Amino acid sequence: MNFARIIGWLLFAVWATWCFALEGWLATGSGARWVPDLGLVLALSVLARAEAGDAIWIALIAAIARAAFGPEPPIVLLTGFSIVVFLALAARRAVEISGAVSRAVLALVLVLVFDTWLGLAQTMRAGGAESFHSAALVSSLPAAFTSAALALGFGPLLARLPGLTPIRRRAW
Amino acid sequence: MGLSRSGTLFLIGLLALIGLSLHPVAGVESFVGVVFAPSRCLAELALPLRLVGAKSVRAAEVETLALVESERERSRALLLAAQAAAMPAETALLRGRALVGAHVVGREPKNVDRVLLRYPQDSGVGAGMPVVCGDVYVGRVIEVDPREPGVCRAELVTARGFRVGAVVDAADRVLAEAGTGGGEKRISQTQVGGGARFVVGGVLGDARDRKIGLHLAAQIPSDPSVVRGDVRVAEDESAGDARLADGFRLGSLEPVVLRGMDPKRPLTGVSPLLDYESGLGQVAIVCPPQMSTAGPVLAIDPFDENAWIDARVLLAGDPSPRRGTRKLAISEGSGVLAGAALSVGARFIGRIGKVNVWSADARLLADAGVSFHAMARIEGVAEPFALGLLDSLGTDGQGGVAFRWPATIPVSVGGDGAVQVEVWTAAGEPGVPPGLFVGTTELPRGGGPFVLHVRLAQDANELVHCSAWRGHDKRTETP
Repeated sequence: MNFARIIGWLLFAVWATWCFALEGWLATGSGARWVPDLGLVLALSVLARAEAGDAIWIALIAAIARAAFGPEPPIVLLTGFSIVVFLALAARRAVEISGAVSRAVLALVLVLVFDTWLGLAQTMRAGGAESFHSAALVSSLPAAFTSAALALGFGPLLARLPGLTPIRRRAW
Repeated sequence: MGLSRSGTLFLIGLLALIGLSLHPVAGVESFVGVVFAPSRCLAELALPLRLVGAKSVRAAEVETLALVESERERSRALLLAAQAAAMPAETALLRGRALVGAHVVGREPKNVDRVLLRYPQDSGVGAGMPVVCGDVYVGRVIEVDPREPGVCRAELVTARGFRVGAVVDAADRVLAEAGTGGGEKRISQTQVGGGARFVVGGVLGDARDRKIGLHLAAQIPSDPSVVRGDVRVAEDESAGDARLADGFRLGSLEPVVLRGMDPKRPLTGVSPLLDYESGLGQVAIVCPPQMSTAGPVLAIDPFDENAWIDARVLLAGDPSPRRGTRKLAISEGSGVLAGAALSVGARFIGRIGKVNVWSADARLLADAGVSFHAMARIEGVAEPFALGLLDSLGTDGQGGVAFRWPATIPVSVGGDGAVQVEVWTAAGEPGVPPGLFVGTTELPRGGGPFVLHVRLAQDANELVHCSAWRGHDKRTETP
């Protein structure tokens, strides 16, 4: 890994942290359910053009950035982002996920998958003290839709944030 | 679709991570925690967002702090009233006894029927002495902690194997009418002091069966025809200190049909007057008359400056839409433990979730699953009403937070209809001091469970600072 790529990953960590911070900050208002998962959309946008071998780094850095503000245990976040990048890579083998529609659909599905995972892990780790309801999945739908819209409108822009060029290998 | 070698390895690793996430292994969690240490530094990148709106937050904090003194005074008055209410009211129960005020500081982790009590040191408390709350019998001291003066362990009357002698004062007697094929006729009869004797202790059936409610088991009746009446403690002649409990109330004797039982052959149980599971905060230990009565005094001062530490909120927000949490800039070395209370001034805002090496998770009251022991202050009523455990269900969409309230003991004061109350924290568990203001709500009458909609006293959404409970230095604690 050369110096430029190290800087690229560091800047990805900074951008991801700001995305999660902004997401959390916006979520304190009344429209919290509609706040898109900015950090996850950023990770998907970068993954769409990154090498498959870089997927684990994307998952790890996104998880570390989110752990700065979220209550979930680090291993749960790492697993959640690993699931997301695994599914995104699988989708990438079948369709071009940097396309407008496909990246929006992928963001919608993966936000739901990620939220479901967090809810399930919280329930399981609480040893049944807290129950997981399907209503929780429904409550994630607004954020999934706004995340899809964000990916549709700003996905390419997020992947081209300053400093991310060294980890963007595939051509648009 | 075939998987490449690296894809297969990724999948295996992912399955292992899923397994470790759902079934935590302490060593792995610690290792991943160390790998994630940079997240604490990354959290400081949110500084610009902390500065946005800081002015309005500071104004809100000033407004809260302006009310601190008056809320502290109300809190202290409430705590003293709670302690006074833990002393017997009936004159007959005061005679020939000394009473030592105590408060519940926790429970045994594996046995919720054993509570830890803190009481004034050198007050002569010993094993076997009864524990009461007002006129109601609670249990007895089983052990004085030799390592920690002023702390004892008491067993509740709900414990399996607990036995206390009892007498039914005013009894309904059920007589089998001869020649009517087993039909029953109930005749009322008042027998003060000379009613049927029972042995009471433990609970009937499943204590968590909400349909039936908790009943203490009443066994070995001297007169099986007695099925109703007020039950009071009446210990055996030879029972020593236990006789100090004589006359304290246990509850109402009534027939109980457990799930799956023949309704024609009910058991007898005692419907309790207290929520033994989560409604015990202040109690009194009954001592022989030669000892001196101690209390009421403020055993835990919830506003002792040394018991709190300031905590900086790293971001006034949380990226998990279903949660209500914050990251705090306090570490493992701060002395703050998981479950500790968080406050602003005299107001309760939540509890510590987990304390990490370099940061801690705060769970605000709006985070579903956060629970605490509560008491209610009813306007015009001197003593507080024990609510028991309130369990957060998250925001209610009306600007408040919904809490599950078991209402094990229904409201019986404050006139008719729903009762407007202030909700305050109560003693009973470590980490949360009693006497912190939570908010206001309306209590419905009757048996629960209910959902309470509490309008919180403090909106913790935009806070950038709060205080975390570290606990008292026991050397300076009163009494």
